[in-house]
Amino acid sequence: MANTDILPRRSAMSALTANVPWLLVPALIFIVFVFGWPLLYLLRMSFNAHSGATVFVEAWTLENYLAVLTEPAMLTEIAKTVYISLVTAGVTVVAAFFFAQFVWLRDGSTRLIFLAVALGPMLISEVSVIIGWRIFFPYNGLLSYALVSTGLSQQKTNLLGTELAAVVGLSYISVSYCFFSILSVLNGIDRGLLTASADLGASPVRTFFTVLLPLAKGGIAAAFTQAFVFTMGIYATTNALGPDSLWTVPYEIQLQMLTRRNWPMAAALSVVLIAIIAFAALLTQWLRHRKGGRHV
Amino acid sequence: MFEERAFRYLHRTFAALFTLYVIVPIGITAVMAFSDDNVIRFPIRGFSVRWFGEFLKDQQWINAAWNSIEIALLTTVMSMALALPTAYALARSTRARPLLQTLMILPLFVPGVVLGISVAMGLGSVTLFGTELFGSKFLVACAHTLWALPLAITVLVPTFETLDQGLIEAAGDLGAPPLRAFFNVIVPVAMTGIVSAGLFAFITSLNEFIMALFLTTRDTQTLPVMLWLSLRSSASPQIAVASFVLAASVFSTVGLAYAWYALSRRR
Repeated sequence: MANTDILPRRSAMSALTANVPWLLVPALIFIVFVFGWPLLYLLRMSFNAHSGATVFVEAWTLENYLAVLTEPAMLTEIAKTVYISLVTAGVTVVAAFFFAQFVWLRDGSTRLIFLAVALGPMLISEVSVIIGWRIFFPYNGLLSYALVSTGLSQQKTNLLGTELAAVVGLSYISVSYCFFSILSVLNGIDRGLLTASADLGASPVRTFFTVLLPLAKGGIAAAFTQAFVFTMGIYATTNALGPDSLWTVPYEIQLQMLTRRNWPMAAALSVVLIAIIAFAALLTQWLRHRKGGRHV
Repeated sequence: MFEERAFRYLHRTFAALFTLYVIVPIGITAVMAFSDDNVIRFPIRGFSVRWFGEFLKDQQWINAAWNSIEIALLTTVMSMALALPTAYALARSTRARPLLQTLMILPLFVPGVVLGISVAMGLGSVTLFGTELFGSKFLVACAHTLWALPLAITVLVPTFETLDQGLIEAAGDLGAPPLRAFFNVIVPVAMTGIVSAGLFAFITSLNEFIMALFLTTRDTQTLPVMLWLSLRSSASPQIAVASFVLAASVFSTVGLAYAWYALSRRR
């Protein structure tokens, strides 16, 4: 269009209407300098050596990776990180799904109110979430007080520092994102299908498993990956609410960086963490495409 | 029929429990912030605004709160300046779009701890115009922009996609230069999207503390970083006050944006 215009003003205007790739340049420069360069530097750092006196010594060694992938302590950390992330992703997706289904079946102002509820966790800082649950779970917390005063429990209980507290806190962080991915898939499904299924004599359970679940499969898979990826990178909540034995990879990265001052080791751990996350994301992508292919 | 009703009640109970789950951590903090006690515990023995007074008197907390706001504003400006042209171009382009958009969104999926240490390692020793980058608010805002920019782009691309092409062409035909057409014609139409994108950027930066933990010094510490660092050392309701202030500032920002939206719709 730009080439055929003769009037100068019109052709200057076409910059706004035509394909304008040069507008991408500022953001690309930013991404290269603040994202690309530091990540490359991190990759290079992971091959450096460490001595007691300085944060790193320039070298080309595989020692850090060897330590991360062979030392039993490190392997346990990787296994625990994957384990807690899988549990959290599972719990979060189930909770997000049933709440999304609930909102999906409603209209008008009820729907708006519940949408606002689902948006809540997204707006609250992780550190505020941690503080909230640290007032709720301990010996002198609200839960213990509520259990004793309603007579459900004879003694005060402490749930702070348990895996339960960790999963409750961790799922709070990704539940909004999961909710909205699932809801967007549900919104594409005709609600009449549920009525039709019931009219044909299917029980609610059967309708759920044979009609709704297969239709929402894609959204559930996306939400699961999202929750898994988010949880893999979190250490603050796990550390502040979970047991001391729940020592995860991100926590080890932070420890190596700030306390041990071993930069190459922190870098190698980060590269391994990114690799696991990328693998999980690509795996779900591949599974979804394979399944989609079979259906069509 | 009976079974169906039972399931409906079950679903309602679940929704009520879920709502409770969302409200508990923030509600409990809000209540505890007004406790008169010396330590955090239940039952609460009395209510007062004593710990708010302590918070306002503490120079370190106030300083941290101002740092947070400054960094969040800087992040918003930077991410909007980058996201507006990017989203506009992405909405117009067809061929390279999936690849470019994926590239722009990528930082969102990298854990904060990894971004934090790589920016600290890779850019921490850089000196720009005579000032050290490490510990500066600018560097923290840059790191926060890595998360704010993808969010802003995700909000803005659909906004620009639904723009009426005729409007822009009409502005051109009437003789408006491109930049003027952008600010006078496109921006007013896309205002809701632009405000939401800015809101996302602001809130993301205000709440983030893992990257900031690796990039700030004692002087540039943000409010959530200070909250995290005093989590284990402080047992008094003051930490609940600080946490409440952080959450309240987020909610009032959202409230302001919503009030603006409601007013502009009425007009």
